[in-house]
Amino acid sequence: MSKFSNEEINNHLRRAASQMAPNQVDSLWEQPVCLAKGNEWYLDGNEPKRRNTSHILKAVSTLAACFFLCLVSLTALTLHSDAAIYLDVNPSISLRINHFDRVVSAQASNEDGEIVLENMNLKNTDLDVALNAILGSMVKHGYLNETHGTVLVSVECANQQRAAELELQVSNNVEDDIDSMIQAGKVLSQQIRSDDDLEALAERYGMTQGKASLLRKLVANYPNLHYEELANMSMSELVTYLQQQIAADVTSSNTNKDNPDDFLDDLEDILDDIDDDDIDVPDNAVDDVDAPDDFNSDDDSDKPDDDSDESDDD
Amino acid sequence: MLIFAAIDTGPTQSKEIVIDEDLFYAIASGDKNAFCTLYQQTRSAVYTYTLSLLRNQADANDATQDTYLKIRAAAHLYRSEGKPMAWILTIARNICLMKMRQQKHYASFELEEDTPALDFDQIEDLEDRVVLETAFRVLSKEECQVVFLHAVTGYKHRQISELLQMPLSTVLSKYNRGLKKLRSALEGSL
Repeated sequence: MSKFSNEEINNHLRRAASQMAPNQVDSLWEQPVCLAKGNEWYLDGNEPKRRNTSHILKAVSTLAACFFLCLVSLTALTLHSDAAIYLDVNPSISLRINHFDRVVSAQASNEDGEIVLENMNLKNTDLDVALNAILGSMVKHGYLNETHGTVLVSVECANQQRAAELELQVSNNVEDDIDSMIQAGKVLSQQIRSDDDLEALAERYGMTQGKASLLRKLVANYPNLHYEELANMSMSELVTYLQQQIAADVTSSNTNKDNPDDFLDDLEDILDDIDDDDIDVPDNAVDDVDAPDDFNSDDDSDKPDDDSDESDDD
Repeated sequence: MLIFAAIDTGPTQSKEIVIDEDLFYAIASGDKNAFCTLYQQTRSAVYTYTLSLLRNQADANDATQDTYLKIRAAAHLYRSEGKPMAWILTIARNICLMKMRQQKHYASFELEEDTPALDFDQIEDLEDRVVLETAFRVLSKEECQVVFLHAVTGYKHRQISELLQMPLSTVLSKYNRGLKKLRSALEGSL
């Protein structure tokens, strides 16, 4: 009985294969071939290591890119100011907040505001905490008390829904805070849209763009009102003054002519009825801002030329 | 009667085909001599591999030809990784698999039974022919691949495991079982 060694079997198989395999090298070389691009089916599975490495690299790169994007987005969301909250009592303070309702910057628009913000670092604090600190400081410095308890809260945000939510949230917080601090006071809130005129107006009269927007609406609709008089008044003084000056013009039968706090509701209604787009700013209200072309047009029914100082100057 | 040496069951060292990777770049640039060298070095390995997969000489012949045409077509895409034979055999396998898919699509079970018997008359050496015939007769398709890759291509079991994407233990098991079956069949027939 004979036995085959592995070596012998392998040798037999090798020799047999060599004799059996076709030898058509010349005809194979003569045949035309279409050059492969690399994604052909017959190359599937080739260069597995390179593909795997490539897959890992791709995965790692994608992951790194995602992480980087998340980091950039998070940083952008954290550092980027997404909305502005303006507080006016007499001190005027602007807060810029990010997407997470944290303060990006706090800036005083007048000297009183500077006193309120003195030694206060509000950066990266929650909006609620910052508001509480600012209102507390206003009370401490005597700007906010039973007789001067009116706070103007203005919200500026490109996203209207967020603006509405912020207006409600901030006015409620401020109302709660001043109620607990001085057991009195009233909040007047509004949403504003910033523009160059408004910014210049606020800068000129040392107030926030929120108060500037309020005054711009009032001056545009009540020719007997002037920026110079209104800008220096605290919000409480302004409300009382407005009550005296414009209550007679308010046609609503429900207008409160006696109680300043109740008048605020009417004032909110009046302000709501004034469309920002209908308001023009005269040249002399803001030195460095050009008046719109249609300022003196006949169509501008909200601003009678004869009764307004600003218009007269034009 | 043929008498072979009586003792051996241990592992053997097969001679691995060594391919100069520069041949691919030369082929890509149109060097016929490089193609001839590669062809002569590898044709036995490619043919036996395709035959072990397809079990049909005509199909294996076609697949072998296709493999070399595709090598010419893709030589410029070859990237040096120290595994030129694996690159060639992967192309050969893809071509065989495509052929099998096509045959499966068109053929019925009856046709499969009519597959022509393998004819190795061209092999002059009787012992070589008997061993080859017996191998194709008694070994399963996978055992055939493993045994031929080791014997003809000179692949180590680890390399076979990588190429066939089989666990090393399975490759070893198939190789040992295959040789045992082959040896047993040869002893019976010779």
